[in-house]
Amino acid sequence: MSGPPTMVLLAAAAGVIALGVFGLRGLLEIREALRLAEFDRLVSPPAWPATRGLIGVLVAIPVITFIVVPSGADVALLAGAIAASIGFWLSPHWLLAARRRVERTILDELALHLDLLALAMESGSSWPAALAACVEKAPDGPLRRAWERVILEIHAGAEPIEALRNLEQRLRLRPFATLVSALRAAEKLQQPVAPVLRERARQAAAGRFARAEREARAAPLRLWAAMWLCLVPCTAVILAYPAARLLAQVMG
Amino acid sequence: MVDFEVVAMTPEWPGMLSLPLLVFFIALPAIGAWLRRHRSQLASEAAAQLAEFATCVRGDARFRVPDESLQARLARLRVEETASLQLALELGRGDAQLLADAAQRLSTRLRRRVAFERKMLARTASGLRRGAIAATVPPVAILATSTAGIGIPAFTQLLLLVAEILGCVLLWRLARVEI
Repeated sequence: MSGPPTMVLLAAAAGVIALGVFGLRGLLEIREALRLAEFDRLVSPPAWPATRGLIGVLVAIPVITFIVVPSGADVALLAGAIAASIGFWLSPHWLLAARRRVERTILDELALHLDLLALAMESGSSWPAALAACVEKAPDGPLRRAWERVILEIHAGAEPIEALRNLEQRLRLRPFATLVSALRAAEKLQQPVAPVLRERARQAAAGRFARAEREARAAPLRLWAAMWLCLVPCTAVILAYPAARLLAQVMG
Repeated sequence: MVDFEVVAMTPEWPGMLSLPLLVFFIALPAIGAWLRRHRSQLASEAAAQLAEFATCVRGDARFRVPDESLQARLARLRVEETASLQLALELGRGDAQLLADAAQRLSTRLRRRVAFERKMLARTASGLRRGAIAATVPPVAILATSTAGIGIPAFTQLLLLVAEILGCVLLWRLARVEI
């Protein structure tokens, strides 16, 4: 075996390993940021180019292995490169879609969480106690984990409103911005915060209902699309098969 | 004269495996709808019971724990919002008003869910019916072609099976909107 190809192969292997290590680290960071609902970490994820490269490679591997190998190495490499480019190009969209999904979950969970906070406040609890009760009672999810960080910040000495402001900065969601503004206003006017939380809980529930209603309106059309895309073509294929065979035999 | 390939209807794996599988997946959207209807009925009963409980607590102005049947019903429903009633039971010891308000709010939420679910079931019923018919036609057509002596290749049958299952799962999933 000659020198240069071995060197090239070694360099390629080292490149793939480096891409794997840094890319995997980036993927794990993204996963953790989504799990903890810390969207500020997603603005410029660490090792993002390497992560995009890894996603491209992961998309290319099955294309090379299962689809194009019988067609030869050149075609396989070309198709793999195209698939990798598509994967690289699509990864920001994938990241945005994952973020949107978590945002949607948080907005869906918000009504119950605010309800629990309002209830705890109405029964005379302090902010840390109310947040602790909310974390204890609410089902597991990104918002619950986000509250856990708020509790930690309060225990570390931050003012509750300041900790909530930090949460709003991490999430960048409108309902949280309005919540923090309303709580600040209530604090300035020395008004109780429980009615503010109760009102925001009502609005969050209305928002959730409106989103579900929008999805429900689209459901019949989606059912229709699923039927025409997956089920009707099956009948068409089965009925067309004898005709196609007949035609093939007639054409010799 | 053109000869078709005559395939005997032997109990080969695609037919043997795919038939019960297909029956299950074709029935899946209907089973899902039935379960949602059943759950909706349970939620409606729980909502009525909760409203009654809230009225009793408010009327007596006395803190009390919901009876076993209501608690069991709520546990069976596994509604997230039950957490607020549990918290009211834990935090509001002695505060009947707080408990009554929490029960009333949960009852209202459940009623709203029930109304939404009923509307959703009505909206998707015709689509699911059409989907079930569309999913039933291919296996019947395969049986008919086999009876006529025209065998569809096993690989094509497998692809059709996958498409059918995908379609049925999509029908089941798309007919379900969580609130």
